[in-house]
Amino acid sequence: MNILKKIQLPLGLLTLISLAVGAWYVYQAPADFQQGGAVRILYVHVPSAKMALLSYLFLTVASVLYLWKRWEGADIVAEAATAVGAAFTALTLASGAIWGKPMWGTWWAWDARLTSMLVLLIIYKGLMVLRHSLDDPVKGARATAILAIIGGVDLPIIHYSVVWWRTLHQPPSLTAAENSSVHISGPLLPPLLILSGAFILLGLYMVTVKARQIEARRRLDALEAARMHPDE
Amino acid sequence: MKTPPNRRLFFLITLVVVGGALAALIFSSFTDALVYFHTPTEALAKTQDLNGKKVRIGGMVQTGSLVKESGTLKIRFQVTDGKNQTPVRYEGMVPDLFREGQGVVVEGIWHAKQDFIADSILAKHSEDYVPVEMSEQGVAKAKESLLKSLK
Amino acid sequence: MSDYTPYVTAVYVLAFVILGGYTLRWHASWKKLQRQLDHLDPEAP
Repeated sequence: MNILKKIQLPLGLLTLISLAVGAWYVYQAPADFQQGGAVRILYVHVPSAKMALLSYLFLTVASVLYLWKRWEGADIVAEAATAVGAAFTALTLASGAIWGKPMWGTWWAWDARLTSMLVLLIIYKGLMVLRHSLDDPVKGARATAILAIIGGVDLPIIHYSVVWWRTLHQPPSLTAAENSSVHISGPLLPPLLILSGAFILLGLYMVTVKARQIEARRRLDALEAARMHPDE
Repeated sequence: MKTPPNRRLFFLITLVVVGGALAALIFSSFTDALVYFHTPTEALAKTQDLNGKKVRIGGMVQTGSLVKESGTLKIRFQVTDGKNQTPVRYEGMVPDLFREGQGVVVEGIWHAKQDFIADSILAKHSEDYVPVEMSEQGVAKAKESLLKSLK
Repeated sequence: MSDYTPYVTAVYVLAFVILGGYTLRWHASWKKLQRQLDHLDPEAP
């Protein structure tokens, strides 16, 4: 995991710079014709939601690699991505609720998008508990990887929920298929794009820090286990 | 090494909760439980089935249909999906995004051939973001996106 | 148009607390573990 040590500082600096630039653009952004200043909430909500899903994608890939190649590094990255993904999912749900109260008139609605996002948080939390609910860390890691891959079915459900079912939540404004300025006009767009990029960097930085912490913890546990049972 | 009983319990609870949440979500994907609201056209087609039931009707607040009773919080308006309308009555505060030509979801008991008495009103936002200075374009865009999403 | 400043502020504070809070916590925890490791196993890389 030497690579983590190397990338941490440049990644951290890049993250801080992009967050600062993003914050400046948010500050400069005009009010939306309907939402007024509340549109600024979406500059946190949307990038955070993207990271909640992206972290899970990362987690799924790491889990497959771990089960296939048995690399411990993949398992460490999976554990880190779980913690990071859970943080972004919680922020997505909370910021969405704070936007929903004045805009929709409710904090929460059991529509397909919100419900499937809540299920994602349950999966992340479940994976954290599952890992430590087995005595043998290797068994715990394997069980967690398997459940993570199964839980991946939630990703397409979240992504397409606003298309497959009629929801209170609006459809995506930024889609790869069409020009993004179709739905977001003028100076309202740059802060969203910049903060989306900044959150990706932040997510990678958080995975890096968490992975190094997990690695140190495991090495320490192994050393202590060796000291307790020197003949094993 | 033996697994302490409370750890094993945690293991089982996790599997049940995560598995249950996933299974419930996937199962409801194949029913219409995840459809948040009916359009006026759908509600009219199923008017006898829905009679006396709590339903959500969604669409656009028809432009020019909003009537406020002065001195009260009572309002009347039509919810339209472009084809059919549902007349709605409501008393109370409305969300900030509730306005003519914008999306709305009303909740209440469906009575065939009567005005729909809403217990609650939710505003449905469209996916369009437009600076205030360009409000006119915004209104037109939002309308188009909303009607498209009702199909 | 209503003033949404309290809602917007709440979201940005929350983002800072959740994302910044975890990042700093993990960083502090890593530093502590690393110190213990250096103490136990000074030859390790």
